[in-house]
Amino acid sequence: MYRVGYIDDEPTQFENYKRSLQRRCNDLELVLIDDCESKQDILDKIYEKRIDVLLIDYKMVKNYGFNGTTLINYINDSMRDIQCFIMTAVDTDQITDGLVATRDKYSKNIFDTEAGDRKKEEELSDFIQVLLESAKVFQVRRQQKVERYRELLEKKRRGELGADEEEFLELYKVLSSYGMVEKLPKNMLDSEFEERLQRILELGNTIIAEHREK
Amino acid sequence: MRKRAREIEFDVDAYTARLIGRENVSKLEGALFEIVKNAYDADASVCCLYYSNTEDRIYIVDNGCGMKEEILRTHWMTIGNSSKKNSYISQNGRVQTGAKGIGRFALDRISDQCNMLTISEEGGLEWVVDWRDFDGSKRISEVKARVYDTEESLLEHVGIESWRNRAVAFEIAKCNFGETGTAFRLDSLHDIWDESTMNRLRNHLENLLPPDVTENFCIWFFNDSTKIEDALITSANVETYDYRIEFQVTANLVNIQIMRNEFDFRREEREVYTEAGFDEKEQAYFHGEKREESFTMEEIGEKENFIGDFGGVLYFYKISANKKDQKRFYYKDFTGRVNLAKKFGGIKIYRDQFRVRPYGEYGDNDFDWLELSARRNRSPAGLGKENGNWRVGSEQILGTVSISRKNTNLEDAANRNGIQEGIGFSQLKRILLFVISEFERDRQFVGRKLARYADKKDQLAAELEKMRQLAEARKVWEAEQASGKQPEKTEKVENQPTKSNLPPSANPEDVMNLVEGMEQKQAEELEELRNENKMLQTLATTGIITNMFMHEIRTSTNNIGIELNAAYEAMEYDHDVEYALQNILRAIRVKKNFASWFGITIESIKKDKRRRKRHNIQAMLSQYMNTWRDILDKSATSLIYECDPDIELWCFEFDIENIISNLIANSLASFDREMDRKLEKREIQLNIFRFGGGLSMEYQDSGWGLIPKYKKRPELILEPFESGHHFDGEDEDDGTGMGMWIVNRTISEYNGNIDLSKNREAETGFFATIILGGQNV
Repeated sequence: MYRVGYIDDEPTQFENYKRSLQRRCNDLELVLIDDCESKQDILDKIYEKRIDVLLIDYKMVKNYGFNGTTLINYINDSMRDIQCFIMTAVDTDQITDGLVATRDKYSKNIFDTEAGDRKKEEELSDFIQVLLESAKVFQVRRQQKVERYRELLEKKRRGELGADEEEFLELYKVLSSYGMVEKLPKNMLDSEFEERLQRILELGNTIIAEHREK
Repeated sequence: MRKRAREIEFDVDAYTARLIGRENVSKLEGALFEIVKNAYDADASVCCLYYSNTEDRIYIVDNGCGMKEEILRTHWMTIGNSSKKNSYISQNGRVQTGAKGIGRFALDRISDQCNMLTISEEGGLEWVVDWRDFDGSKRISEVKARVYDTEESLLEHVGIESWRNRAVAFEIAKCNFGETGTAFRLDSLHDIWDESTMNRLRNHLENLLPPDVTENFCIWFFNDSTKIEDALITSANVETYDYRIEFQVTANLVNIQIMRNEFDFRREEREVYTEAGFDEKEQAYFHGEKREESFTMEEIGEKENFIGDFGGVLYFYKISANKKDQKRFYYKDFTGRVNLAKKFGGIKIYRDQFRVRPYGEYGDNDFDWLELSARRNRSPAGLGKENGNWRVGSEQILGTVSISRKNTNLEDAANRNGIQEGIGFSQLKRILLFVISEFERDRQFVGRKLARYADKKDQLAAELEKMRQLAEARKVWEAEQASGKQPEKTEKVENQPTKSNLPPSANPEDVMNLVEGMEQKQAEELEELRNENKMLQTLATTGIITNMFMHEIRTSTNNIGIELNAAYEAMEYDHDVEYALQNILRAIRVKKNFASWFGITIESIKKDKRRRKRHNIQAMLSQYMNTWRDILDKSATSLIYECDPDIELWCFEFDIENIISNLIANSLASFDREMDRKLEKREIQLNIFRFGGGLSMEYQDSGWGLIPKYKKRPELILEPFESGHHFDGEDEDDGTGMGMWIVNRTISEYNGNIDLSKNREAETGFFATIILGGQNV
């Protein structure tokens, strides 16, 4: 079962969308991401709820202070591989801030199949396939990264991580959140970092001292 | 020293002969023209042209006199030798139009293979030629056509029994195809005969003959699917017109008959006749009697007639006139008229009943061959104008000019395109322009009388005219006084002092009355314009508000659809009646939202809001502000509104509403602007209190304030097309830029002002102080 995250500052239709999706695809579950104040809150909830693909409302300024496209930009900075789709009540071509590709924008109307209208059903079915595929891609990418994470973890234990520290932390955050790797004790992540910083400072001092003697 | 004298014949290369023919008949229209003309010259009463789509073949058959073998041999087969060159009157008295002996090349233009049956009183001959034989390097005398004697009938030759278009074939069979005539079967066609070609040629054939010829000569033109009514070509004709001008030039005389059909005085007939001054003779012209005039050549400025006799019919046919003129000149109803010049052409020339192209051909350079447009540009006066001549437009006049090959100085141009320029053609043009100017004079004579009558009816205009006359008289008097001359007897002006030593002057009371009357009229017109302007401003505001709420309206519409669809699915797939009911109830709640928006938009243009009266502002705005409160509440915006109870203002309700609506629309746009943080609160405050004889509005919101572009000079937002909205994250401004301009316009109409200076200092929020007062209060 893949989890489709849904973010909307007025999620009045969430239950209808959820039913509609479930009725047509047993492998997808719509999950509401709410009770958030900031973009970081939302990101944390995405990890927490192990979301595989995201549907995000466009116009959210009123309750959040930012729009859906800005949020996607923020999410993808931390989670490069998760696919996000904009859902809007207005025409998709009216969103022209250039932050999201046209193919990733959908009208909320897609859930209205007009009592089994064939064309509308086909459109919704195509959309569900896109969601399913995007969720699968994200899962496969995560799995591929487990190996890289283990490699970096080994380096870290040997104290040789260096410039790969950032990549390691990002992978750790995603993979551990989704339960794909074991959680590390928090102090392990912190102490290692401090030790390394201390070593660099000492090294720097030695170089300066040698330079002065010359 | 000469030896062995002998003669060598000139000869022509066959291909060159063919080229000469092609030069003369280069277009399919021209080829058809030659074929129909040959049938006409042969005294035929029917000429039938049938394109068989199934066989891709053309059948042509006429019931003319046919050709004897002698004619076939010496004329038809001798290029450039026409039997019509010297003797051109047919047995039945028609003036034959061909003369160059190259018409038969028309057949070459149409197809490669030609099979002709011609039956004369001497019997039938079948003649077969393949025009491709002219190719190569043969001499003309080496190219042969085969001729057979035959007893086949015309209709057998064209195989009428097997024509696919049975309906038309049946009609053709009923025509008088008796003993003689000529029939062709043309194969290996050079053109694609699709519907567009057929239509083009049909239009050409409709204009080939003048309307009055069709009585003794008819043309059928059709393919497998043409209906009977379309197959018989009817000459383009003028069925409705404003003026009909007939003319005949006979020896030294030009006779013109003008028929008026343009005016309809309806019930006012007697009054118009009397007041406008149309005598009995004139009245008869309005009732269909022709006005006849006759001039000698000298009288129209011609030394002599260089051309000979000719004549024609012209029609004046207008397709537009403004309402004022329709009323002023009592025009008959002419709604639904189309530009006939397009179908019929302009003024066309027919020589012996056949069109001389390209004169009057719509779209051609020679459409306006009399240069009527340039003439009109030189004298653009209106119909009722006292000074200046009205001139007809080139697309307003159409008709036919009939000349004959009997006319002198009007020869065909060598390239068969028009008439040779020269004294004859120039005279033809001058005479036609004279005929046209006679008609113009008649029409303007009527127009001027009617215009004067209309002015007389308009009292104010009459008064003005009287003053003008007095002023003129005064000018003359002063000039005479200055030169010390005794005043001459001037035209008597009403109210002018009778004693000639007194200067002509207006009665002060009359002047006062006139000025008052004019002021009142002007005020009424201004009021009308102002109302119209207000209506447009309100409609613009309605558009702005609707645009503002487009997202909400679309969301609500979507939500209703989704709730109903969810209800349907809950019932259909889950049998979950309870869930379906909840969906329906939610849909109903969403529907209610619409009512509020309509309250602001549709309600704003209600008729009673367009009446200016003294309003109590608090009472007037009470319902309106409640509606806004509802709407704003739904978008989490609070409205703090207060209004003094005792403000009375002489105003239009929708003026005040427009100001408020536009301000609120701007605030909402500001609330929805995406910034680096969340807006702390969405609040609008409006306080209206009494100020002098009018009112003051203090408006402010808690939005992000003006964008940097307007921060230093906030008054710029009052200019038209200035917009700082960023709806829906668009990069470009997508506000209309009209809202604050409308606000400013409205304020100035109430002699008020708007102060935006606080916006310069304020970090966030928008502030405006509006004062309304002045003469409208």
